[in-house]
Amino acid sequence: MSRLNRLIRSAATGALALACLVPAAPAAAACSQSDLVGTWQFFFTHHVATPPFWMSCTFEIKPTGAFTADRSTCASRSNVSRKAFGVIQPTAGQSCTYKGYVVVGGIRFELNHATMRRTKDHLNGVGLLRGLSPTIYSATKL
Amino acid sequence: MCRLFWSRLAVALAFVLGAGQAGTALAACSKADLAGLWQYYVITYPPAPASIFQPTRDPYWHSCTFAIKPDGTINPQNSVCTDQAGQQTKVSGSVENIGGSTCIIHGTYQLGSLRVSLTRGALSRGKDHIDGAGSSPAGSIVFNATKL
Repeated sequence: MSRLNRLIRSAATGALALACLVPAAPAAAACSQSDLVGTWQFFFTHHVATPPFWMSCTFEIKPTGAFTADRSTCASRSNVSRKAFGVIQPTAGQSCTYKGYVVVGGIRFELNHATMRRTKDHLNGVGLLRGLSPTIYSATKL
Repeated sequence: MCRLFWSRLAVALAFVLGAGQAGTALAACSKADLAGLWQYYVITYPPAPASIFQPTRDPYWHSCTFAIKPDGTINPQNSVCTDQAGQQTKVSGSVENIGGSTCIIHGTYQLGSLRVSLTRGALSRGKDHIDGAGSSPAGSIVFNATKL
């Protein structure tokens, strides 16, 4: 009898261990403003202009979401570096989606919607140049 | 002694070959990896006009949330696309792994009257990001998706 009890107990322990190994249904990732803090490499592509163009930017993002002046710049194919100003913040609460804007050379790019990967080191997003013209972008944390 | 040497050598070779194969093996994915909530961005490039009398159309994007069920169906109840102007449209459709267990996916979705084909997408090894390309009657598309 006690042998049977031991058998049942060990089977129950085994089942519990297996249950712990099976991952629970994945919840949506949680992100915060602080996940943006640091230096990011952004690439913007704009397809409406003739010819289409890209812009490569380095943004140093502060805990407030604002870009650090003098450490945030953009350059295009001409390789002329221009200062960039802007801010990026979560769309709501702990969501991993963000919105904001960037101003480069007097031109404003709306960052309408961006999403952070679960690894917290990569963003993809869509936006509008001068509020009208579509642009897409990606960003990698340096 | 000699037999022992050769058998040890065979074991070592098998180990090395096995390790080599593991390093180059392709990642495996399943439909279950697609289940969940995804943030999807797509840019559509309309084709060039058929004649000089027709206007050129600019590329445009949609930002979408896709709720994918374990069977690969895009749940229209909580899947929606927003266009550049902020107009929202519900979407339905399905996605699946090509060949059943590869990390290459394909699928289709219906956005209003437009049927969009996701010709080929690649799921990252972290199973949280997809890059891909496809088409619709409105033009060629390039897309990416991030698991929320």
